[in-house]
Amino acid sequence: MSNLQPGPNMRRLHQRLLAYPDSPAPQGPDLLALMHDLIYRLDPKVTGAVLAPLSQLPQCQAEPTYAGQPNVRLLMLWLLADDAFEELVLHAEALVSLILSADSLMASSCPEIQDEDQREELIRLALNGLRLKPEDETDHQARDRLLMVSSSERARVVAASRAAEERAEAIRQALAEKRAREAADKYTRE
Amino acid sequence: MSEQNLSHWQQQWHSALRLWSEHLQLHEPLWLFDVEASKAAGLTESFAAIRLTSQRVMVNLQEVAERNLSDCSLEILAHEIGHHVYAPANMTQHLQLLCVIRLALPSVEHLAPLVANLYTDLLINHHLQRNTRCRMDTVYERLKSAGGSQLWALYMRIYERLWQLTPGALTDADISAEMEGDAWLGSRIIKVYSKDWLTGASRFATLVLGYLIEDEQAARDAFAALNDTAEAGQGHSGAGVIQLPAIDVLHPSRDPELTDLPSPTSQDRDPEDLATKAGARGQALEPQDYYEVLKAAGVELSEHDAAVRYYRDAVRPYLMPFPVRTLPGPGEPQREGTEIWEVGDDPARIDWFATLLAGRQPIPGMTTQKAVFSLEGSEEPQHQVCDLDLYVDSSGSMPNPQHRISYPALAGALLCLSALRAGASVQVTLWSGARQCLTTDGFIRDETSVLRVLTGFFGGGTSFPLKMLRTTYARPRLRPTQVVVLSDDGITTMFGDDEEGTPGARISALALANCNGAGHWVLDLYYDPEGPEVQQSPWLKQTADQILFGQQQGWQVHRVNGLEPMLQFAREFSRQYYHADVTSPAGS
Repeated sequence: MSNLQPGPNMRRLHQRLLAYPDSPAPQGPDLLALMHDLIYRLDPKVTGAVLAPLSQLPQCQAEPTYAGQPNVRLLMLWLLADDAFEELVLHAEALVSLILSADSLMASSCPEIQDEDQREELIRLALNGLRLKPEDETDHQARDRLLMVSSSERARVVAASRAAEERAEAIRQALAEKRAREAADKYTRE
Repeated sequence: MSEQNLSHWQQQWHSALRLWSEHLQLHEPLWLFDVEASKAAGLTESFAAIRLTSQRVMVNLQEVAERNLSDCSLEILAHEIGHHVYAPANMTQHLQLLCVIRLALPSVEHLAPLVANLYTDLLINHHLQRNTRCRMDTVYERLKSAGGSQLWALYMRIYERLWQLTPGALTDADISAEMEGDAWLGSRIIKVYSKDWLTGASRFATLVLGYLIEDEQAARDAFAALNDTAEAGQGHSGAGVIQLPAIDVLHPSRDPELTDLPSPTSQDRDPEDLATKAGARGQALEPQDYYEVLKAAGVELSEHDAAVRYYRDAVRPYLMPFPVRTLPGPGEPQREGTEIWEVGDDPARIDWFATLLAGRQPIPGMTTQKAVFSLEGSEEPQHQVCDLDLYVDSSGSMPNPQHRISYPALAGALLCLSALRAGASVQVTLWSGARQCLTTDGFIRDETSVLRVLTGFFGGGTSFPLKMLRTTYARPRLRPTQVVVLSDDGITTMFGDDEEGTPGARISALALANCNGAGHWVLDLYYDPEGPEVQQSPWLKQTADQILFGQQQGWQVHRVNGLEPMLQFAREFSRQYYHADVTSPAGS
């Protein structure tokens, strides 16, 4: 059963994120206006009521609390502003929901966009939130690949690897100590 | 293999070059058509290989066909080119890579070439898969049944993760949770350290260490066909001491660059602490490691020859300047006669007429003659180059220069090469116990022969070769000679009696009188013979007294127990005998 809509090409979206501008990000009312414009462009049927929760975001206040490295939300807005999304049928409710929840989607609130895996995760989270899948991928592949890059999955597999390494290290140390003791015994005998 | 097929491969070669760069040029590969040709070229197990020294690619077309990879010509060729232009790219980086990996593979260091190959393959294949039209996954799908080891399963799972393939696309093995974590870390290493790939190599080696220890043979068998860099260093004769990059040895699960996860809370698991324990370095290799790394790179060289190369390259930055000669104004050169042209002299200086006139067979260094000229009107005496007579203590108390760096040997190499460069002749005598004495064929000018004796090792007792000193200085030397003895407190055996019962002190005094130069003791001492600590031990005091006696006799004593004192000695020596002010390494 297919319930994900084909979306843009992954490589294009990676390039989009890599091209994130160095100039200061919009804040306060400017940011709110930008989000309204973006959502209207992607879903012209949007209503004021749907957009209303966005004004509660801290970054949209008159005196914003954020300034510095781009966070997940700003990166997602930059991503969604790509022309590739204009050709798709998107719903304002899903867009607003994605933007509101952006802060809690990834392990890091300010991902490193030069890191391929973090870019991949951000793109796949955005697409998944809009019920989209990357171009040329099946629903199954899209879900599987999202799982492969997700922060929580990463934490799980790294913990397993680390535990295994600790066990192996303990065995290696015990072996090294045993060898050292045997060498010392041999030296004493000789 | 038909001509049409070969033509296809040749066309693909140019396409593969363009995948890396429009301007890239490399020799066309050596196409091998059968087992005999492959064996002759040294390609025995894998279906393709590279040689970094000749920058050549070799492809065994028969083996490629047998593995059903004939339609993967672009992938195979682009991959081999990747070894030449990306990783390891050149011999220096290849040797550094092997060093870094060896450090991360305690107890299985000999598998460093295999790990280096797996790692560089990952880097190259990921680049090609992501940035070109190459379908590297197809190659591994075809090789799917080739391996049954755990390392093979991990390696394939890393590719599946890197290229987001369906789990099981490249390996049918059961992947445990731990291996899944390792595969994720492996893929992270390739993505995060694609530019700083030497650091990534260390992480990768640490990641696969457990798999290698568990089943070394299965891992070797599984990857034999892919090992295309095993002999990459064959024919290498380049110079240069390998500098170890300062890379900590750390399991990738503890590298914050890879995991974005907090470090373990346990105190003894702090990454910095672990790195320190593992011996983070940023310095030159020891001679033994240098040899092992060359061997791992496929360089065919004996341990002794590797040591010769090591010391020659190590002292090269510090070579002393040529002696400064005070010459009179230009005058007419007047032929004064001839003398023996020796091996190491400029061949253009052979006087063939004089050589043939002597009526004997021309034998280099024996019957070959060179003309001797003087300048008319030259009244000022010229500074004459001093010959060097070096005695190297090779007893058990001295470090084996082939295993770890020996500062006295380093000082000796520096003196020898500087003297040879200045036009002097050098005699080297390696000595240890009675009848353990190796010497050059008199005073010679052949750099390699000199260094071979210098870097030899007996490791026996201590008995200074008084006979050698006695015979060399039985009569005054015509050319001024600097007598240098490299030793530790074993130098005191110089004052024993020789085999004829002549007291060593007399021979020593005669040598100083007849050398027409000066005598030097370069000693690796852990104490100062004039310091107060020698009073604590009667044995030390006796030794120190004899060293002081030598000093009174005219020997100049230099303590050399590290790089800086060695350089200090060399500078002083240079200032004194070459009239040069050496304040920094030559060439710097």
